[in-house]
Amino acid sequence: MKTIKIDIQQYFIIIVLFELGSAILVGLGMDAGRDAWIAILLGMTSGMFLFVGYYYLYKQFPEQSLTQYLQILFGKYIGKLFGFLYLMYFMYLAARVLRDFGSLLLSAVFVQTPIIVVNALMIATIVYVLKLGFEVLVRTGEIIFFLVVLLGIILAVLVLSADLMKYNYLLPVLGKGFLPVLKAAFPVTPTFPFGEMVVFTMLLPYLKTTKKSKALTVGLFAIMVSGIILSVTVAMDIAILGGHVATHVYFPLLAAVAKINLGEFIQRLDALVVFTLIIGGFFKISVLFYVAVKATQDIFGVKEEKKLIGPIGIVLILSSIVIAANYVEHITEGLNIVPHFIHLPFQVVLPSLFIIVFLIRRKKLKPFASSPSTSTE
Amino acid sequence: MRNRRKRPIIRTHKKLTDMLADKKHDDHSSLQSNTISMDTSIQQKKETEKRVGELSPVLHVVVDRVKTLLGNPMDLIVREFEFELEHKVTATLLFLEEMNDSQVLNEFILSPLMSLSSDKQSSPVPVDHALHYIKQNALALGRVLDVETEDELVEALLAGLSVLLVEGNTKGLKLGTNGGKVRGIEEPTSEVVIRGPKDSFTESIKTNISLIRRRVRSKDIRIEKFKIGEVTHTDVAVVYLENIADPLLIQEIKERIEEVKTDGLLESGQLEEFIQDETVTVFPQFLNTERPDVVIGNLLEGRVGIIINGTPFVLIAPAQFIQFFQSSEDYYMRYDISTFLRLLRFSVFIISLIAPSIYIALTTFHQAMIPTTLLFGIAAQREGVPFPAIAEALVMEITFEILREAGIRMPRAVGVAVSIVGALVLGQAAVQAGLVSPAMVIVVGITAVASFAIPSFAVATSARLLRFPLMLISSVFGFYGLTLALIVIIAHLSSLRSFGYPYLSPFAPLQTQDLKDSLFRFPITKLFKRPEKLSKKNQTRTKPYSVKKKREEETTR
Amino acid sequence: MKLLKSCLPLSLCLLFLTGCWDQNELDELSIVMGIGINIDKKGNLIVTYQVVNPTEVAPGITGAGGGKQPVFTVYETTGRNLMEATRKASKQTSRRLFFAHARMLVFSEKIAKESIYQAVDMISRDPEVRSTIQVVVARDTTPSKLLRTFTAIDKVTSDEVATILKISEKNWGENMQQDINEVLQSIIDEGGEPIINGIKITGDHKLAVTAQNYEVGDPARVQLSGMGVFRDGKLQGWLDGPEARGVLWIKGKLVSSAIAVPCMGNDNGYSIEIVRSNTELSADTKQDIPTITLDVFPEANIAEANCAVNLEKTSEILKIESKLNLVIEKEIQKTINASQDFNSDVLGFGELLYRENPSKWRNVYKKNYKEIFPKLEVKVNVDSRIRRSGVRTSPFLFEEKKEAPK
Repeated sequence: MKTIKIDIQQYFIIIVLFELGSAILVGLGMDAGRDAWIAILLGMTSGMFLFVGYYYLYKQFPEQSLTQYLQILFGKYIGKLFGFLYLMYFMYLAARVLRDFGSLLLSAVFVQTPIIVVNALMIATIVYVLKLGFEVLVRTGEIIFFLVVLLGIILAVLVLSADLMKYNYLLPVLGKGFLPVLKAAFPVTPTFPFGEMVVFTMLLPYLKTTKKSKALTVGLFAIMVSGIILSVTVAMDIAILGGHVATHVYFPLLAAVAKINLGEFIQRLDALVVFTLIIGGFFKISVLFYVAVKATQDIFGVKEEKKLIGPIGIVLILSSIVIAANYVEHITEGLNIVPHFIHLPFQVVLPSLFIIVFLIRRKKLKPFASSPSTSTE
Repeated sequence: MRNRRKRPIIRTHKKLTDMLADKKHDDHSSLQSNTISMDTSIQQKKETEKRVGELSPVLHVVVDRVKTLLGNPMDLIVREFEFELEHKVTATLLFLEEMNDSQVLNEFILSPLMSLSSDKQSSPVPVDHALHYIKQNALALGRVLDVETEDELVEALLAGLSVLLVEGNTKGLKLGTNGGKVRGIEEPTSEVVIRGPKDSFTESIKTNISLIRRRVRSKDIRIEKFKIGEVTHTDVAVVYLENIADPLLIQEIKERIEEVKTDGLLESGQLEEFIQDETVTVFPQFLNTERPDVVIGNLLEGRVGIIINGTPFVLIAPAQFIQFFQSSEDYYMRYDISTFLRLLRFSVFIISLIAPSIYIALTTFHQAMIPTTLLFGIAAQREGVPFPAIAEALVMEITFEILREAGIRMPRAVGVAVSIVGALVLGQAAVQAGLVSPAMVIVVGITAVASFAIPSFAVATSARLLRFPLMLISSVFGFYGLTLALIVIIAHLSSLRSFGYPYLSPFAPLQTQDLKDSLFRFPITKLFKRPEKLSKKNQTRTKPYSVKKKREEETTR
Repeated sequence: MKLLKSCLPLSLCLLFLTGCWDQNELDELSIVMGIGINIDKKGNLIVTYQVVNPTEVAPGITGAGGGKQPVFTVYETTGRNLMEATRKASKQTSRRLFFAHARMLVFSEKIAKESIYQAVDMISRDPEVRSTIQVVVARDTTPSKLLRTFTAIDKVTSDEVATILKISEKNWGENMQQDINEVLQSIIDEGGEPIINGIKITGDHKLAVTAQNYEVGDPARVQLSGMGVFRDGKLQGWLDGPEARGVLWIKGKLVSSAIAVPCMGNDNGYSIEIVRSNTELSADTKQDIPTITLDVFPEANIAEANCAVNLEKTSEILKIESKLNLVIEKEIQKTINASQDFNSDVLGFGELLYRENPSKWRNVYKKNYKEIFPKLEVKVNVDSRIRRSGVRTSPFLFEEKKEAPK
């Protein structure tokens, strides 16, 4: 099933949409107060380093996805164990993002609707799209990207013309010193969303063969673009809402856009933003979902990936509800527990371990790593 | 996706070629190598096939056979006559009345033959060479071919040719005298333009091919003929430019057409359904047009035209979604207005697709988004309306669909009455009776007008159909449901392929070059290339040319 | 295809089973335009809702029985907290109260003096209420009366007040729009305190609450009246007239206004129309008591000149400019003094100090800002520019005087 081929601009679009997906929704790095935007840029930089690591691994095994080369790296059983852990991780991420969006909708629009219905509807959509194939998802992503860019420009114009931003709210830069910014930036911001690029260890092999050389530069560029967008968005949130409000609402972007009021006609655009965000969320969950499907396929040796989509979808719906009792718990977990105990190991520790193991076992592994670059050596 | 689709087709294709091979043994020869041999559905014919294939040299035997085969039809004319070579030769001209041009028959066949006389011959002609001789010397006609079997003979008659038989010959001649009354070339009715050619295709495939030929004087134009329909034997022609179109595409199209097995083919819509990639979809996968210039424009982009005898609507494949928002006029007007119009048409499509859904979502879920004053207005109108917004919308939309259908089917004079009753009586009265709110009527009105502004009827239909599920989902989940439903539609669109070419290209997958002629139309001097995927061989279309630059160069010199 | 088949019954179920979650037909909603909050003697909240009757407001609708009903109705409930009061309202109304279009939140003076924190929290937490809802304090009246007042032009009181605020901020500059978000932010700002517009009823209070108010030529009206200064969520007092305008000068929000400038002994000799203004703030944080410098750059036109001066002379214009500077300076100083008297930093000086010197703010000023603020030294520099004098040159008084001796 190596027929799926992703073009380089598609790859760029997937990364950007994936990174922005849910990160643009929740206030990122808000612990840093009005310097949140700096924290994001810091996070972005370190996220880029992480990506270089993932790329290194990919380069050694250009034809295999993470769950496949783990089995080469560690042998069948340990490799599968690690793969399974990653599978769990991907599923957990998907469930988390799903929960994020369910909560957003519930608190913003559907106050009385049960979250399971909202989540199930989202998953149903994703299941439909994934059944059409990953390529369809990617192409849908391209269209979505156009839409999101268009809406982004419109919103930016509206915000600017409504003259809502008070740049004073952003001052003083680094008012509380560099430390709180660093604290806010590490380890949360590099791991979310930039460290989640670990997902792409599963997707990089699908890149068109002719475009493989560009994977690193385009990847880094995409991370940079999304980082800058996030940073600007957060800065805008703060400039509109003020440092306090921006850090104390769950969805700052929403609150910021809600303030737009042009001539009593264009107003209450937050509902519109919710739906732009849903599109981003849809895409992020879909990518995570697909990666989970791929991982399951590799680990359990299932031939037809389409058969896995339905069951995994159901698991996701249920787990998105079970993972936290309420939104506060969900967010606290997300900010305090997940980055340290889940993101860090899966995004930093384990990949570094893999690189080290690879370096040690390099010679033995050579025949397996069937890349054109290694074969010419 | 593509592989999965293709496999069964190839398999069945093999079966088909086997079948064809078998058939050829029976038939001995076939007139045109690329014609699917005719299946004989008439039982009698099958019987005769077994007994005799060849023509008897005795004239009346053949004539009787033909009469029985065709069931002695009233329009079969058997004209017996004699002419002189070495001695008198009896001949018979068979043709179906009204399918042949009687003037041609009289002037170019009967009169030269009957005026033949033995003294003109330099050397005597034996009887069995008579046919050959008159073919060479007497028939002042372009298309004259041999007929060797009864089947061929009957087929030729049915195709509107006349057949000349000469006593003592085991062959006949079929003569291209077909003619008779067909509709002339008129202005297109479904694609009216203000600027641009005013001719349109007719029901006759010959006329249609000639319309294309006249505009493209290229030796690379290829017109390949097929016959579909075991009863109707409809002529189908595939037209393409050999130096531009992708050979794989042409092969695929031919294979699919050859596979169609059906009793009759009356319109291009039927063929479309047979050979389209995906059945479960509301979106058209072929472009159809009755304008020759549209066909040629598409041929130049590497697409393929499929002409079907009996209908003025020519199919163009592969089709991309965006093409349904383009009109041939876009290329004849300035690029700025064309771009504007294309964007307008696309927005109109979106409006006709989601306007009622947005109204429903806004008024039942997101009242907060409606500007306050407008909200008062809508709320006041809703006051006293007994139905929920969704019911109101459904009733209005369905009423509109009924009116529209009634308006189309009614005779023209009654149609006007229907629309008056519909618009004035129903609309006005329903509002005054408090059954629906005026805002709803406005929304339905906008939707209706919008759906008429889409240039392609086919794609307007898809919007019409999709509107209803969208309305339902937005009545349950508001904008959330609507957003997800739109994602599903986008995903569905991007999963579609027309002959393997992505339906949503050049947007997804993105082809930057092709974007120049999509929702936008760049100045024609900037449209250098043909669509990237469609014409792999021969991409350059226009040489960069700029009058301004030229003039500048001249002045600097 | 299979998917389609399996989804169809499911979606049909959804259609019929879910109808009541968050779906509200418009005719099931009561559109609340104004919310009033008062407090009774026992400490319960009295909440007043002004609900629109759309058939009466909508233009051109001749609905059933139009023209007879009032434009709005008012519901009033009491409860221990806002939520309770809101839900209790359902005992009185057949429809759900819908807050998304509420434009005005009125506090009574009583509750403003006790504390506005509770109410502000609830309102800002509710996703339905817009963050652009204007906050006002009912001065010398109660929210309940205010929301019952019939107004003539914008028929719904809350709408009228919100519009008055907007227009008044632009044209007169003694009030500024303060929505819930800005109030909240000013509470949170370093050392900041909220300042909220006051509103009162003028004319016959009894007439105000009857529909006859429409029919008289000189009805009771709602009118903006000063801005209330808060400290720790409690109303301390009011800034009125020029003092209130000072706040806008300082915050740089003044768009346009008219100022009387004396001339040749006539106190109202000139009327100067401010057309735009820019304010720059800076602070010197070297000392323990910081010094703040305010630079105001107004641009103005001469709107009236009631004394005999030659406006064609540049020196005369310069004279007027310096006089104008003085007047504005005085106004601003008055405002500063007043807010220092209230010991309430509604002017955002704390935020300024934090911006200028974050570490010193945190270590030194923040702790005893309550002591520092009244002692703050503020230098006010006004540098005004008079651009035009309307379509006339010198006033006719001047021409008269010129010709008289001859």
